[in-house]
Amino acid sequence: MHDIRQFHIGSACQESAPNLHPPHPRPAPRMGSKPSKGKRPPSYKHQLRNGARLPPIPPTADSETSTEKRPIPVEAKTVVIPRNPQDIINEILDHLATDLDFASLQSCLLVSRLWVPSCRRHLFHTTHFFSRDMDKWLDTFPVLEESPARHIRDIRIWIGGSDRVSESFFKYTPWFTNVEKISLLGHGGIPLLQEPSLWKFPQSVTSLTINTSVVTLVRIRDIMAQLPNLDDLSLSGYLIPMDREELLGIGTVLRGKFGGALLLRHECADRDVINMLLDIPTGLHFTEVDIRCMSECFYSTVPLVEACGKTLVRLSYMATFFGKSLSFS
Amino acid sequence: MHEISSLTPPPNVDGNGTIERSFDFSDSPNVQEVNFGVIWVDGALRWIPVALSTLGPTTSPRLSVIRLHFARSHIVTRTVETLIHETSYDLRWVADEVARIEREFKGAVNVTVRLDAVFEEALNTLNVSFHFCGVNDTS
Repeated sequence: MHDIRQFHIGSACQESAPNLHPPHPRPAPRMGSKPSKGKRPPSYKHQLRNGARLPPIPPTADSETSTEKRPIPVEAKTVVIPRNPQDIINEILDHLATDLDFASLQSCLLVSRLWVPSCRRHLFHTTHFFSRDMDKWLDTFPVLEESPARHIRDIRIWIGGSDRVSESFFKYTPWFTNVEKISLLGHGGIPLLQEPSLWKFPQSVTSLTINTSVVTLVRIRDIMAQLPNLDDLSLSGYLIPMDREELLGIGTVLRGKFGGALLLRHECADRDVINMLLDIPTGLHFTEVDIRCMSECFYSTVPLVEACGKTLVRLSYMATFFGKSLSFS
Repeated sequence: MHEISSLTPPPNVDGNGTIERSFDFSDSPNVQEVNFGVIWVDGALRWIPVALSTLGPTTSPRLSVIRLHFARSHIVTRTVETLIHETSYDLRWVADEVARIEREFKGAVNVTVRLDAVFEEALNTLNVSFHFCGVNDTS
């Protein structure tokens, strides 16, 4: 049997020559490779050395011009990505995110390990959670440290209707340590707050949006009370009427900053909500106030705007059914 | 074209000169943008000129944008005659305030007024127009 190594050595290494080096042990065959059968055929190199000619290559239609059917060297299959500065790569990925080209971002995610953080930052920036999404999330990312939860900045939780997330979801919301905006959306009520300890929101939240069809003001207050860094507040949807005694001093437990944007829509622009905001001991410092309400609520909103007077930059007020419902002095 | 009035108190203001409570920007030195809109059904629109009357270059030096939007409700439609009867004084007063703001801010404030077809017809009947500012007809 000819050892390949002997052909590389040349004619000085004959079979009759003394074996100067002990033979190397043959490597074990790879898993899945074909087992060798009998004597190995001589290579083309050996045949040429012995004066033999290679068999002619069968002609093809475009054999002279096309190189597609030639075997590609192994070295040519290796794609070498030039090492561009990472901040330039990030800038390109930012443009993809600006264009909402998430398909390209998903492809970029698979290019390089260095690209993963930036791609994840964009892909998971805004994440919606419906009823079964939390289970999927836990199945996909069983290890908290390896999950992209820290990349989520805007989390939108659908809590109303038949496809709402279960109350147990709120056990996991502290995972999202960098969430800035949290939205509770959907038709249907927010689950009853039987155990407030279950509702744990990340302390990083600065923006809260609640838009559901049925919610009580006390429930909204309890959510806001967990957010000491709250800047922006957006309330819309419908409020369940409550006993007025339960609403006395309702806002005194709130500790948010309230220095961003305030948006009140329709039913949520009523006197009780405004009284809650006016109860906040640290005061209101909203720079933007956007109210759309019925004319009956006009006189309730005036003190709210006045409370933001020093910091107010932008006021938008849209009134519907304005007119005789107001009592003129 | 009606003459710019001296902003005399409206007829339904009491003897002390107090008017209905509205937004007061005299304590808002940082205000830059004010947007007011009405989906009108009935009654007066006095809160708008009252609020605009508190805007001035000394109290609101950073003011740069005012947008006004007037439209009639499609739910309960009232006639143009009713609109004119109930809002004529307020619409004239709004036009006066807009003209004053344009004059006092020396063009530094961009005022835009959006009118639907009903309000535009009412203003034409009243011979009221908003000078120096863009008017968008949303009809």
